[in-house]
Amino acid sequence: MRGEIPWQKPDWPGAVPWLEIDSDCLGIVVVDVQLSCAHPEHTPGRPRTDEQRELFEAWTRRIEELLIPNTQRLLSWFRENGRPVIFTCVGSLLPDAQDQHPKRRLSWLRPSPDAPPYRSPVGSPGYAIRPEIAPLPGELVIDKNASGAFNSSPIDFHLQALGLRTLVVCGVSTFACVDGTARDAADRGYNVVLVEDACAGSAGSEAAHDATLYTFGKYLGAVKTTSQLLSELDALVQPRALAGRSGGD
Amino acid sequence: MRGSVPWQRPRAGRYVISEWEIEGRATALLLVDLQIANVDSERGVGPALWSRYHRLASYYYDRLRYQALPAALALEAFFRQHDLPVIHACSGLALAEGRDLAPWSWRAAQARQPWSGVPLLLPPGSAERQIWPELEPRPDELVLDKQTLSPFNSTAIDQYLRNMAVENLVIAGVLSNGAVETTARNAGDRGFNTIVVEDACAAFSTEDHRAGTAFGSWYVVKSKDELLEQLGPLVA
Repeated sequence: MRGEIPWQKPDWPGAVPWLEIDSDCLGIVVVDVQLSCAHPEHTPGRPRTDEQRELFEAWTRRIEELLIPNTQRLLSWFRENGRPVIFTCVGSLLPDAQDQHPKRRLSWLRPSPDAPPYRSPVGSPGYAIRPEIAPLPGELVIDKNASGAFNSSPIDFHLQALGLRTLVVCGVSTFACVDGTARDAADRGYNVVLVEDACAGSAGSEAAHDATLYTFGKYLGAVKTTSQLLSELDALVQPRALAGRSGGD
Repeated sequence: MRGSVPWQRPRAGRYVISEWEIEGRATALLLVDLQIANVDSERGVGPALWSRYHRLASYYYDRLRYQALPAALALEAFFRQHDLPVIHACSGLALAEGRDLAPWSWRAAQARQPWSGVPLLLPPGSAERQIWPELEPRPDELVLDKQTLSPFNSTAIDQYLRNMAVENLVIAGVLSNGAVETTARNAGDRGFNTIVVEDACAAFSTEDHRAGTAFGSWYVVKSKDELLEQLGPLVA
């Protein structure tokens, strides 16, 4: 079903205020909501000062009170409406991170002073997606070994094969992997909605999180809250359960 | 010549790479979107900016004239003096009337956009699409036409850079949080040692400029003077 939804504020000559999207070509990409990236007990970098502890607690609240519940709402909508659901996971494909570029490999292998290596290779416990938003059988899980999925995975191949034109993107961290993935998708022509309250940065990175939302909403795509997006999508489609069909293989 | 340059600034509680060894001769300059339509205050987006967003236009064109364009010229002169590659990446449509844009894509909507009257991606042959004349692109410099903010998304630049044995990419141009940032993120993510020269970039406001240059995801930001000081000894 096609229909127009609000897109960008007319803040500059190139803004697109309304955009027609086709709900038949709509999918969701959940970026890197893994134990090592998005679970307070599994993510490394223990806070040591009072200030760091406060920032870490604020981050934990955002993850548990906003990101996880809103991602669950988004996934419910996409699954009930039979639209493709895609997850990305960041990690090294090889245990010694030889598959990553040198600076990234160094950052990954080098442990912070009182924590395990910052990121986890494919197959390690920290690599797993948080169980609260676990992929269902048949949903695409794409491994990537850098921030942007288009730089480091076959995601574009899969999105085109699935016939997707409009993407809803959420996950962690807003400034790095979500921005990297959503930005390149939009730059390559996909119509991208960034769901601001289903994204989180790392602890203490609110300014960077805000910078991503600001720039994205101006030059690349739409920024919406979960509630806003779901009400616009509901207005576009009749929710229907398609038994036995899930998105992508 | 190989040598270390300062890399990431310290961050509380985080591991950072504080310096990184590079081969100075494996460095290229990438100038992004320094085209007449984007930098001439009387052409391209200029009239629309002046009429609707006067303060923004005033800031942007002053920044270009007094800061970013002189710095970009200085970088170009340095790279040419040391016989290092200069690459120009320019935005524009591949086909007239935007037939190269997917009709369902936001870009096609932007191209059809009537409300501002300003076409952002100019058709082939358009005079305003040309590179800003003072840069004087040379026959032995790559000029890449792109339909996206980042040349990594609509040109074979990755291949060209690797063929040319470029390991370090120095980026300048416009807009700081548009084409420049998108390009820098792609280059950094793909393993190039990527440096954005922030005072050779311009954006529509200080907030936009800061959004694109204050945070650096897998690339670093230096001033023109820092870049020349640090790279100079390594390019002999």
